[in-house]
Amino acid sequence: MKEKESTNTRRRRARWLRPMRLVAAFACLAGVSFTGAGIGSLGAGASSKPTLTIWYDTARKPMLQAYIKAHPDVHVVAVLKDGDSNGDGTYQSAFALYNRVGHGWPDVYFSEQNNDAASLSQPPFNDAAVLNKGLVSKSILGKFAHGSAGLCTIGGKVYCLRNDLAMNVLWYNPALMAQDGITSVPTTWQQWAADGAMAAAHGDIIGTQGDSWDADTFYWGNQCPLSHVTSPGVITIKPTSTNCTEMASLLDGVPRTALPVAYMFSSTFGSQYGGKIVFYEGAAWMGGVFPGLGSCKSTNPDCTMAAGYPLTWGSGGPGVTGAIGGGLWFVSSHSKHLKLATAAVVWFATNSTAQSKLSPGYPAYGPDDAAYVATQQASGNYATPLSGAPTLAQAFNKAANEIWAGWSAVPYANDQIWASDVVPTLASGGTQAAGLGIFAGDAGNLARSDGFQVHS
Amino acid sequence: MTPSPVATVPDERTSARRGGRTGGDAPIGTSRTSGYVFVGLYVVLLLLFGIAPTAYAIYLALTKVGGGFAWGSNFARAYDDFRFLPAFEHVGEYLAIWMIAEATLILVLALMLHSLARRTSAAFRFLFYMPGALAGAASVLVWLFMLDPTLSPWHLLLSGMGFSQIDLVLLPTHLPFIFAIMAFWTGAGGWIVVMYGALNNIPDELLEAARLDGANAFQSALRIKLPLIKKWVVYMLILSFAGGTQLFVEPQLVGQATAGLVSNTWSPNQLAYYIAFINDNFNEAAAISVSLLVLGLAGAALLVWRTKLFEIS
Repeated sequence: MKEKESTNTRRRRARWLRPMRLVAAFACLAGVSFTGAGIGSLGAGASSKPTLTIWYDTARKPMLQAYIKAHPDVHVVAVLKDGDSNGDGTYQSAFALYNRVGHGWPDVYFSEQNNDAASLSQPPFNDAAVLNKGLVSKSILGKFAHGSAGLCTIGGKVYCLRNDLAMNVLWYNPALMAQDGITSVPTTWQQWAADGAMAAAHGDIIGTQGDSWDADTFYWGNQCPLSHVTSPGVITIKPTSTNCTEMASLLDGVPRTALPVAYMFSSTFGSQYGGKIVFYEGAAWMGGVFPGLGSCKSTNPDCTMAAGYPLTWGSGGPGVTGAIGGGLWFVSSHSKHLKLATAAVVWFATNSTAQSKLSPGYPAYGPDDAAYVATQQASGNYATPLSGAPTLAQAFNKAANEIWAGWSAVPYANDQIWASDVVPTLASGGTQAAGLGIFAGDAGNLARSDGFQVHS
Repeated sequence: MTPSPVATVPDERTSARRGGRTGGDAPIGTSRTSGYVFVGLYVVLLLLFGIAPTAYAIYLALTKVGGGFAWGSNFARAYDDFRFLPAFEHVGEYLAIWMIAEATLILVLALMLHSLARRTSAAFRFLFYMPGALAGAASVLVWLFMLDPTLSPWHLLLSGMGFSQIDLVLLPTHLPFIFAIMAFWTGAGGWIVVMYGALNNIPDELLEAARLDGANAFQSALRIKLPLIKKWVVYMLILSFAGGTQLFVEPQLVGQATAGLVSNTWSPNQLAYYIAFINDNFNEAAAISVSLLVLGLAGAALLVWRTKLFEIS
């Protein structure tokens, strides 16, 4: 009797389980399809169309959707990635495996990591296709901003197209400046540091330190040779250079209350410092995304940022600046549709609508700059420049042409070294001067392990 | 009479009889077949996902990238890497903290549970076991909130200790403690339940005899219970040592979630991952993996040998 009951129970269970298994199987398939195709479903539907697998990050989603809409003849398999940011090595991990098994490479990929051209174009990855030897015409390449191909160029070969430049400018808040009694926008690092005391007296800040961008902001922006490839396989990492030590001394002299150790995109930065940023030497894309300005705007509608020229070292100092981020578009040399993939990359990097309306950063492709600036100015995210200070267009255009070319892309991630090895020193009260030495030691070790001859 | 410091756990059949188990009536042939089926399944999985990858790792570690026997060059290059020793130092510190905490706190908690009334004990066992459900990546997310002074429910405590932001919590000298806390939090519950089970296996007559001989709760725990569950403790330490040397998820995820505050080569396993996937040198990475395997085996062998774990008395 018991056995009969149990058989019946099993049958009943089986009747329920069958459809549930089917649902589960469909759910799995749908999951695979979703993760595999992502937003590519927009372009799906015709197996006869050529297929492009495109890796994108969240910020590039609107551009990709526009591309899919504009190219109904291309079947796009869109795969959301992290952009390989912060030196995570996501792309390197994937390519290492694809190279071993002989398949799996995407056709087109977007990277947020500045050193990816130096890494992915060279052994052992050997993936990025050379674009300036027949794939992309000289006339197109010639319209990109001066120096924008620096991070994409290794030994005269261009391996990527810059999406945006991410050059640093001096962001300033006219409303807070008036409140703190600062009457003019600083143009030199020294003036900026001197204003720190006035800002601190009112509980405001003139920037931050102690995040992975320190090197890109302060040291790249003062021609400090911490990542200077002088010839193939030879790198200069010289923290004792005057350009490095003078900047470290200047930063160490600014009160920590005015230049706190903080990360702009931490969960609490907005609530802690959002409405207190008087100045911030940072990337062009930051203007519209400074966290926490909402709280400042609620009491002061004018509490928005305007862009000034990048700071120089002393009056009449060389006009140079660094860059934080800036995306790169790659074509995989393993693509079966090299021409189509190249056309896609060119479309992403140059299309006027995509670059001016759908991309958060300043276009590296010169002809799109004016439209981008016009879109930004119409957004209401920026303050009216102070009298005598440059317009948004003037600040961006000048900075775009002043990115110091001596900060070279290397196979290892400088920002990762700074974050893990230097930030703890700064967070626990250490100095920038001490941090420089730590960075140079660790970067030197990594450079040597990557086969560089290191000069210091 | 002084209770004997060395006692043995009665064998399963004795316990089963005492518990009145009825399943012991099954024919021996059937039970033997079931045993082979269960062991067979395990052996297949062990071969596929244990032995075969290990053999492949050893093969990679002893060959060159392009092929050919490499002798010890992969090992030499790995040991010569400037990140190799610091990575092992980090994990050594982490293991020391974690294993000492395990060997003391888990036993203390298990003994306390064992002395509680059954219903109260069940409630506590459930409570202790709960965090185990949030193992791996989930526990890292929980702890990122717990450790960020600006978000944590313990922010007053953290601020009182001088930690005003997460950068200060995640200083390099704190990391072994933090990862040990994470590992203890997720792993302790399971081991407490295991130890509790082992303690339940001690015959009541033995504890009763000790009580009659005048042993108080502390003496009973120290002289009777602990010696009887010693092998379980050793088993726990062997698994913890092997697992701890392979620490990966916690430092990797904390590093990624904090924009790189923890180095991506903090632990030997991370270093192996970096060398395999960022430098695309699977052979050198395999040399580190094989070194970890040897370390784990040596640690286990030492404990087995010193504690006579496999001796049947």
